Amino acid sequence: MKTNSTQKNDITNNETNNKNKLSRFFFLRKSINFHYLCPKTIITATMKLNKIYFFPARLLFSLILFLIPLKLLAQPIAINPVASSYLQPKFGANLGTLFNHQDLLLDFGLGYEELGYDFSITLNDAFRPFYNRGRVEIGDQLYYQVRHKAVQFSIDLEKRFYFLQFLNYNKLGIYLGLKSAFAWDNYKGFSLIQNDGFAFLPNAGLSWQFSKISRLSVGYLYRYNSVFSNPNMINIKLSLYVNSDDDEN
Amino acid sequence: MMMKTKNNMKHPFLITFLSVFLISLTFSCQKKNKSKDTGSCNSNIICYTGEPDQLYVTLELSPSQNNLPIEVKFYSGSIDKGNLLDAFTTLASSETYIMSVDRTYSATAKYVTDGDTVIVVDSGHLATSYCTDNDTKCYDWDHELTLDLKLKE
Repeated sequence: MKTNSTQKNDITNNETNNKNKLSRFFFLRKSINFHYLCPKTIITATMKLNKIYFFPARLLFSLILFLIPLKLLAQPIAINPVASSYLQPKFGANLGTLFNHQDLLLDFGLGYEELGYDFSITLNDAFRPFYNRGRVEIGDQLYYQVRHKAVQFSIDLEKRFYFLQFLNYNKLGIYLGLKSAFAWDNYKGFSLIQNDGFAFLPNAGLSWQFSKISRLSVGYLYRYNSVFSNPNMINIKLSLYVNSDDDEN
Repeated sequence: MMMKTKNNMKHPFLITFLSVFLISLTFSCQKKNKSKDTGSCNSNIICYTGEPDQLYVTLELSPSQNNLPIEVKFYSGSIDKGNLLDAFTTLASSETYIMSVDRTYSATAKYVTDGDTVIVVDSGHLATSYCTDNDTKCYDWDHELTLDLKLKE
C-alpha cells in the first residue's frame, strides 16, 4: 500500500514529466525542426496539449467550421449598412444563451425575420436550467441566501447593419436589439414565485448572416433586472430561417 | 445546382435546432417521480425489495464564526407555508433526522457574520431510491436528502 508521501512523489513526477513533454512540444513548434516531425511524437504531444489547454478552443473552432460556409472566406465587398433591399419576410427560430461568470440562461424564440430590411421581431422564452445561489437583502444588514430558478418571456426587437458582404449573400455586421422582458424567479424552499417585473434589456454585438439560411449573433446584453447576479451578460444566438426562398438567390 | 447545395445545407441547422429544442422540452417537462431509479445494481449489494417509508434528511452547516451558535429551523413543506418541525441552536457541522418519504422538507440556518445576519434557505423532496436487478427493485435504505445550509463564500 502506498503512503501519502509516495503518492505525492508520484504526482510530482507525473507533473514534471508532463511539463517536460509540453515544453518539448513548444520547443518543436518554435524551432520547426523536421527531425521531430515524426507522426507519433506530434500526435501524442498535440493530444496532451489539447487535453489540457485547448478543449474550449477546439470546441469553438469546430462550431465555427460547422456553421460558416467556406464561401464566407472569399473576398468581401463593403456595403452600405443602412441601405435596404426589397421585403423578404421569413419565419425564424432561434436558440441562444445569456451568460456571465455568475449565471446562465437558455433562450429559445420564434418569430418574424425580415432579411431585406434586416430586422426581426421574435417571441422568446429564457430560463435558468438549474438552481443558482445568491443573496438578497430583505432588511438592514439582513439577507436571505437562496437558490433560485428563473423564467423570462420577452418580445425581442433587433435591427442589423451589415457592412461586409461575401459571396452567396453571407454578411457581417453589427446588431442593436431590445428585449422587452417579463421575468419570474422561483425560490427553493418558498411557495412564493417572485415577479421581477417588466424590463427593457438593451443588447448589441456582431452578427454574421450565412446566406439566407441562418445567422449567428455574439454580443452584450445588460440584464439590469437581475436580482442576484451581475447584470452584464454575453449573448450568443443562432437564428434559423425556416422558409428560405431559393428563388430570391 | 446551387439551389440543391443550399437545400442540403439547411438540414444540419434544422436538425440541430430541433434536437436541442426537443431535448430541452423533454427535461423541462419531466414528471417528479416518487422513487428515483439509479440504474442497474452492483452485484455485491444485498437487495432489499421492501420500500422504506422513512429515510434520512441531513442538514449541512457552515462552521460558526465568533463561536455564536447557529439558529436552525426545520420545516415540512416550504418555509412560508409549511409546518415548523424543529427549531434549535447548534455549533455542529451537521444534523440528521429520520423523516417520512415522499414529502418536501425545508430548513433555514441563521448566521451572524461581520455584523450581517444571513438566513440560508434550502429545500428538497425526500424520495426513495432504488437500483434494478433483473426487473427486481432493490431499495437503498441509506439514501438521504441533504439540505445545504452552508454560507456562500
